[in-house]
Amino acid sequence: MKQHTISNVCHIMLLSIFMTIQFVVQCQSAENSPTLCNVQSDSVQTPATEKVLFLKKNSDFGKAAVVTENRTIKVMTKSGQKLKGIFSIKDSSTIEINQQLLSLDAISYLKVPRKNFRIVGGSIASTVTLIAVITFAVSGVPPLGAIPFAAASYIIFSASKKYDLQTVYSIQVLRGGPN
Amino acid sequence: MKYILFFAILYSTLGFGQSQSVDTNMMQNQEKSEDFVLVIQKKTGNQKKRYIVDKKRIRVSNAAGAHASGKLQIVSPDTILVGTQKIAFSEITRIDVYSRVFRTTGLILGGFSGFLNLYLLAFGEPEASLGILPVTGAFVTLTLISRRYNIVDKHRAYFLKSY
Repeated sequence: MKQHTISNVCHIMLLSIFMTIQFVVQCQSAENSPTLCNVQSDSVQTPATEKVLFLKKNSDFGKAAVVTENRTIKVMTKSGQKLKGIFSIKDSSTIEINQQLLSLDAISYLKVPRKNFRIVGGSIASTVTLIAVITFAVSGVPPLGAIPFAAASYIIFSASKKYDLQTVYSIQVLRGGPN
Repeated sequence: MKYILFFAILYSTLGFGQSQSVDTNMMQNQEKSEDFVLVIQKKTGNQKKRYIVDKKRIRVSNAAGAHASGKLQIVSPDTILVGTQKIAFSEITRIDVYSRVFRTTGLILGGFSGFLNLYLLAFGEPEASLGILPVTGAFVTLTLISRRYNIVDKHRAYFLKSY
């Protein structure tokens, strides 16, 4: 009976590992999948212009960052309004979040979720959830040990890079495309 | 040993044949009117893009195999500065982008390990020092880890610029 239970647990563990790997692969493929406007082959033309947000540190030694369109961002405006959603760039000084136009000058700070952290956090969360469910199903003991792991995975999942546009960073729109 | 030194000096002096060496002070005083981002995109498959901004450490090579490495500064879509060398972008056939994480890790661990090497050597433990030497080498090798882009065959490169 005991051997049978151990065998079952091993099978379920393997299944959970397989599902985690599948989740990571799906996340990566979703990340890499081109948006509709970017889909191209040798026969299909690339769009003429591509627009990105370019964030540059004001100090001489500062580094720069690029935020591509159609990513989820969090924005705090100078008036205190918080916006969260997928953004698109309208022109050189305006972006759109949730059908709301926003001037770049009006942004106080910008938060961009870290993709890799999301993948790692999601993987840990799914694994911990599976193990917790399995443990509860097999032994009937509430899996309290999973709570710290769940909290850690949530923290990792929600990690984001904050860009302070009032003092530290300057923002502008860059555009271009392959010839 | 002298051959190793000779090859090290020869390797470090290799550069682009037609590139111009630029005065560092001139480079620092150079006022950039525009910002640029270099985009490297896969030609096939998922068309994955890599955005490379100024001050990223890269190594570029031309068709003849000569190379230059250092921090990138995009002067214009035609010209880039790599370290102190001014290079025409059309001349470049391959770009290696160094991984910052591996580079930092390698420098810290390699530096620590190298210091330990010298410390053991100075205090009469040459065998122990020799034992750590491969570890130092392995750590230093981490700094060379890079992602390679062949911008002739497999990737295309273009620039984004401000409005």
